[in-house]
Amino acid sequence: MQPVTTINNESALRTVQPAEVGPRQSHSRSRILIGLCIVGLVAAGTVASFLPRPSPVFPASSAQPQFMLINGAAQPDGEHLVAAGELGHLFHSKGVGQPWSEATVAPRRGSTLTQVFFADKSLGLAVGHDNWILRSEDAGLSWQEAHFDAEAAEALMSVWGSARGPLFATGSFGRLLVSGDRGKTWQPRDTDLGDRHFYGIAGHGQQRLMLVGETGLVARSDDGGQSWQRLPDFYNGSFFGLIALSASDWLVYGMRGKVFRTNDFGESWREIDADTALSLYGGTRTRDGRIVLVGEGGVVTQSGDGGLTFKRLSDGGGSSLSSVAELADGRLIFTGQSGISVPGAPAASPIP
Amino acid sequence: MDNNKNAQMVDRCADLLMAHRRWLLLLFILLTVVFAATATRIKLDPGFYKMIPLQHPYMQTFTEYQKAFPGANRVLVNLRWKGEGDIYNVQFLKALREATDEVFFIPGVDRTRVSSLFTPDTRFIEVTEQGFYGDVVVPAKFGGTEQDLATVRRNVARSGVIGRLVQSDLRGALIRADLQEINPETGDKVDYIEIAKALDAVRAKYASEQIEIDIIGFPVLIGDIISGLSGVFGFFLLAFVITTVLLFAYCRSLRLTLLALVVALLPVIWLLGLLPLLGYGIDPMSILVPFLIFSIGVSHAVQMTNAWKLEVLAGADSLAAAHSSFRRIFVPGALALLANALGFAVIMRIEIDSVRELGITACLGVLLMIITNKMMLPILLSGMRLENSAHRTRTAGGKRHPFWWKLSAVTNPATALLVAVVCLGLLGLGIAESRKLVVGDIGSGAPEFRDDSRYNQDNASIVGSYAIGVDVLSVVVEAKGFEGDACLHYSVMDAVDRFATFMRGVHGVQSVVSVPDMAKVGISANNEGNPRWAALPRSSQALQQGAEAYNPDLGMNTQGCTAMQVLIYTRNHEGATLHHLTSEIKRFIAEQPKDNEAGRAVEFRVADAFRLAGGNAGVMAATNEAVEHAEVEMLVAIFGAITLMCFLMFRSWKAVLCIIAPLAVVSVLCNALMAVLDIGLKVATLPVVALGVGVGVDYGIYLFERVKHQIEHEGQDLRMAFYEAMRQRGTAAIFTAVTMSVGVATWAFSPLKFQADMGILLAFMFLVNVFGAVLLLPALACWLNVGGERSASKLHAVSPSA
Repeated sequence: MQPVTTINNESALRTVQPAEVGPRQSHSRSRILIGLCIVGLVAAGTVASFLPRPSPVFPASSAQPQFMLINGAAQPDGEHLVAAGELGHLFHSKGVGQPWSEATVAPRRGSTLTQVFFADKSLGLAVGHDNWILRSEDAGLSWQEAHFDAEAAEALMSVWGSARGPLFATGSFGRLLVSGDRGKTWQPRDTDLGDRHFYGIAGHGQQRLMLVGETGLVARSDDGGQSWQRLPDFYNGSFFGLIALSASDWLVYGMRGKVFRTNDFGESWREIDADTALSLYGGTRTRDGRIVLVGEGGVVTQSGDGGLTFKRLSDGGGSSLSSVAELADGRLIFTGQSGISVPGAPAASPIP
Repeated sequence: MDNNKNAQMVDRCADLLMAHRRWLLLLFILLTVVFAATATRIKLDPGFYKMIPLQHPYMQTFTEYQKAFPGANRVLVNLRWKGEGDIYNVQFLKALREATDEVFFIPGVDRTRVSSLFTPDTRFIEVTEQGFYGDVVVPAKFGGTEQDLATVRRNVARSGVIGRLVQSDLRGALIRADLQEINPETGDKVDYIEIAKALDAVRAKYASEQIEIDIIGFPVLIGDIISGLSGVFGFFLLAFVITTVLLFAYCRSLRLTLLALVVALLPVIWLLGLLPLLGYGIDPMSILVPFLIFSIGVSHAVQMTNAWKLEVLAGADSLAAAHSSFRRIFVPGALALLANALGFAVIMRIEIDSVRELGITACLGVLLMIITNKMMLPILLSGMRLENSAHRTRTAGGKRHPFWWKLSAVTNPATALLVAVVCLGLLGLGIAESRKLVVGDIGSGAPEFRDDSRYNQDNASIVGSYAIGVDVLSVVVEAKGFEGDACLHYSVMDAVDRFATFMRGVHGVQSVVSVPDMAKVGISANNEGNPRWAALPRSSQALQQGAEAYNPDLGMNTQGCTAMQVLIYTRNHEGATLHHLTSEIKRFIAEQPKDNEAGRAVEFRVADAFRLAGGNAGVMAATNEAVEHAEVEMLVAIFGAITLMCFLMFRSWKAVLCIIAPLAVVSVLCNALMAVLDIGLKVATLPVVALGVGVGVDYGIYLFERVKHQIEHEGQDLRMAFYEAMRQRGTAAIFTAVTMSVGVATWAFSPLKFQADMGILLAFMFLVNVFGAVLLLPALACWLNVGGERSASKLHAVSPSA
């Protein structure tokens, strides 16, 4: 095509080479069609670009023990970990440092659990508010309800027993529940100890048991929990737990760092300096004989001599601890208001 | 014919303008003087609520409950002990006490909501055999003895403020203060700039070798933005100098250079003068508008002076040249400006006041330019004489400009197809990248500043030292129609408790604070602090134990718990995180049962009661949602408006497609660039596409108008017409693109990140749009057979007679 070079030249049109009109029109039509295709692609592309953009994928939300109150942890088979806490959450993990996942709980009641206990490698019991008792026979992977009573407005605080013998659960307002069938059914037992809160129960062998509770309550049983004898008060604050060191040596602990020890199954008591004035809510004895107590503000105090003297390992000032237990490898697992911690272990990857 | 009528009207306007040029000039000068005088009254006008999309449902909740639950507008002053040991020493505690007092007395601070170790709301609870008692952590008779310090240390440990008011490592302590929007004493709006100054004074007074002070919060943010803005004038100057140099290099005439600069400055002066008269100030967000107006002003002045110069070079006298350049430029120029104005007007649709003000200021500025640039400039030109220097550079008339002629080859079908394919390829890449664009902020810290700014360093230092962050999203739970105190109803408290627990397991949540959490602390405290008691009992009577937590003074619930808030501290305020959080919250709400097992309606329906969202993160989430929502709406509006305008002007769908398609490609590329540069789509960057498209359409309109004119009036074919268009307007268009890009690109060095982001993106838009207009536009014109039909039909009409 000869380009037009002059401006304002009326004859310019004549320099355009004439051609047959028909094919020219069809040619221009197909050309426009291509043009429209290009524009169409641009339009489609633009629309595609501005369509709602995909939002980035985040890990799925799941309840995590480190973000809630955990009141008890256990390692039933020396490998798997189980933890019980707030709002009826039960967790299990394949081991220290492994991610936690929620155990199946049927039915979910949402009552806060206060203690988890394994009578053997597979039989687990978890107790909590509303007299809720859950039972597991698979080392804590799944849990079934064994007892629940929301009407009473009571809370179970402690559970102890053996897989062969009776199992005991104690709780608020003098509640003592007993099971003779590996925790499948539970019956209340009258103790004549009044309606003070029972915070802890423990035993040694088949016969000797002791329970502690509110306002200095300490009671013992030497007939496997059939009958209970209240011991004379020696402290007016509450005891939150106890440890059976031997048939005659027992240690009770409670508020404001109070620790008392007996070497005659409760006939006489001696106050021990726990090296803290903060309340102690949980404790354990390790296989090598150390006694570790934990409590208010995250205080940790330890005895290397069977509970005669204590040395504080960690100050308070943080969040409170509710329990401590020893793992198969000798490390300690702590639970409390900030979930679970195993000092010296890599942190569990937060979300699986 | 329509076009003829239009042309006649423009002619008449030109006649009128030239006839009355003397007194019009006088009027314009007078106006300039008046506006220059009023412009001195212009003030910076920052405001917290101006940056919030108040129409968004989240913000409805936010404003409804902001009295009951203040805290979104919060200042944190952290004193960090750099000496030996921890904060429990006389020197530090003295500084903390005095600094607390000073913060307390800053006007605009809500004095009931100042917290530090020295305020009466910081208490500890001690459990004893007789019960428990509480007191302030620093005893009234604190004298600074070793024993006193030990007491404070113990009390603080028991008060639970470690991680909240005291650094987790005990080496710093915080003063937390909430601000009011209106000062109740004076009834005036709180002056953030004054607060920022007062806080700076606190920093200056108490910072020492041993104590470091970090301050964050909205007023500090505004203060730092304003000091960052002072650099703006430097950038303005730089842009001005660069523009001057480029202008002179382009037109080789000092007079024309000065004239263009003056004329480009006029709308800026008029705008700054008009704003105070209309009751507006300059929002920090809109501070860039004067630049933009100046740049656009230069670009239009160049088009006009260039047209005038061509006329003068062709032998016309100044007056005739001014007359004819008005005739030629007024319609496309005014139309282009209207398109700009439309682009900015579209921004006003975003329901965030500071963005709306940006739209209003920019829109107004551009409309003023129609007067200054299209009317005043021809008048000034009519009285000018072109220097000889400008004459010399002209190539002899009639000879083809080799570059433009080569460029016009893009109208050859093969080249055009190549250009189109390349553009489509770029578009494809752009689409892939642009899908990665994120709404909201990217990275941590205040998005207004760069990561290494003092504010963001302070921010990082505070966030790193405390368990609670500074980014909080709050959910309001309404519990209406309950008998007595709703906090004593297990169904209500349990729902909130479960929600709080759920949120703790959501990725991106740092911590959660709720009324049930505090109630559980109270219930546990009532039971000797035993954590095993920290659970919600099912009876109202037992819930009474947590009564301390239901105190409305704590700011977590209203009287009677008809409403309570759940505070969700987030790990960051990235757009993606906030989006994830809000969608998880909505999912939780949706999943709650409406009926119980018996099929009856539950006592407390979560879906009716939980309302998003307050807190600064709530504001950001709402802003992000508003921005995301506005993006598409804005694009549809601006492209729709431009389409309509182009259609009205050219009466040709081909023209519309030729002009719009390149703009669409560039918009996609702009989004892709944002994704590549990690710039999020947010309040500051959302207007960029609209601004870019609004300004970018100029090139297309100017060029296409000439192409059309050449084809219709001169009977040229497309290539010739495009060559002519480029010869007459192309240089000016490219020059304009370069000047404007350089002008806005200087912002890239701004200490303010939002300015830098805007600068980079606008520079990109301005520059790349011109490529779209000179390459893709003619290529499309070729394949859409622009001009082809006409020559064919003319041929058809002519040939029988031939």
